[in-house]
Amino acid sequence: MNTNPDETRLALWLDDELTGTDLSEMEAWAATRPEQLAAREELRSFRNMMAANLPASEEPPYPDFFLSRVNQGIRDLQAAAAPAKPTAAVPFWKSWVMPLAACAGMVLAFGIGKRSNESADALTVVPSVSPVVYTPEEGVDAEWFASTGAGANVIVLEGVAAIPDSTDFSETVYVPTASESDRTATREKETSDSVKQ
Amino acid sequence: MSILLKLSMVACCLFLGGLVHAVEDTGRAKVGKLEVTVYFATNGDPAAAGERAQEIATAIRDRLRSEEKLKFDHYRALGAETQPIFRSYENWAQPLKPSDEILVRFETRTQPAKDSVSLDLELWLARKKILKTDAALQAGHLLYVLGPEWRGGRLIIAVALAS
Repeated sequence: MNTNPDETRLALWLDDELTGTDLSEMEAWAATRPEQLAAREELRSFRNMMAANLPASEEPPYPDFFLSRVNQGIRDLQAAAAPAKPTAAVPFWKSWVMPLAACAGMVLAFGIGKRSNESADALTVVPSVSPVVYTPEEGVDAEWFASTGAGANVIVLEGVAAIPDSTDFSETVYVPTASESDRTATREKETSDSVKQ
Repeated sequence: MSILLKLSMVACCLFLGGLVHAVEDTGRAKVGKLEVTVYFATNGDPAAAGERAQEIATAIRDRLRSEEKLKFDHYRALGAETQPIFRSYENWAQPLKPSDEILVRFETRTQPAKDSVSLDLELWLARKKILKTDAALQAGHLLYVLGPEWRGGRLIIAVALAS
C-alpha cells in the first residue's frame, strides 16, 4: 500500500475495527511508520484502562424518576402531534368578549389557587417506609434504620473521610433553641404515655 | 381627554396591578422550619471538642444513648442552625457557621402537612455531597446521621422539624 489511507480508514485501523484485506493493507502501510504504531498502542492502553475502571453498565440512582420523565416526554410529544382544529372566521363581538372572558378566568383561577394554598393543612403526607439512601462518593456506605429506642430514623455513614483534628469549630456559638426543648418535651411525653400503657 | 378615556386608563392600571400581584412568587412561601444540630460524641475526653462546646440536655443524651449505634460516653453540642423550608425552593443549613465543613441542603418533595414534611435532603462534608436521601420528618421524630470521625469521636448530625 503506497498511498496514504483516508481518515475514516485510518480511524478504523486505530480503533482495531479493520479485518481481512483492509487490515493487512493497513498493517503493511503502518509498518514503516512508528508514529502511527505508537498512536495505536496509546489508544489501546487508554481503552484497556477505561474498561478496567468503568463498569460496563450502571443503573441510574433513581430509575423511577427517570421513567416518569420519559413518560412525561412521550405525553408531551403526543399532545404536540395532535391535529389542530381548523379555525373559523371570528365574529366582531367575539374579538373583545373572548379576551375579557380570558382575563376574568385568570383572575378567578388566581383566587381559587390562593384559597387552595391557604387550606394546605387538609392534605396529608404519607411518609415513605424505607427511604432512598444514595452515597455518591466512592467508598462511602450508608445504612438506614428506624430506631424505636431513640424515636428517630438513623443513617450510619461508613467510609467517610475523617475531619482533620486541626479543624477547629471553637468559633461556632451553640445556642439551644426553644424548639429543641419543645421536641424534648414531646419525646418525654410520648415516653411517659407509653409507660402508662 | 374625555372622562371615558380617563376611566379606561384607571381600569387598566388596576388590572395591571392585579396581574403583578398574581405573579408574586409563592414558591418562596415558608412552609416550615428545619433545625440542624451537630453533636460531638466520644468515648474519650470530651474536652477535645473545645472549651465552647456545650454539654447537652439530659433528655437528648438519654435519647441518643437509647440507640446502640449512637451510644457514646460523652456528647457535646458544637452548633445548630434553623432555616425556613420553602414551598418550592431549596435551602441550606450551616450548623457550624462560620465553617462550611458540614452543610445540609433540603427542599420539599410533597405538599407539607401541619406536623410533617417529606424532604429531599443532602449532607455535604468538606464541600462534597456525601449523602442524598428522602426524609419524612414528623414533629418529635428526628433523623440522626452518624457522620465522620473527628478528634477521637464522631459527629452526629440531627435533623428535625422546628416548631
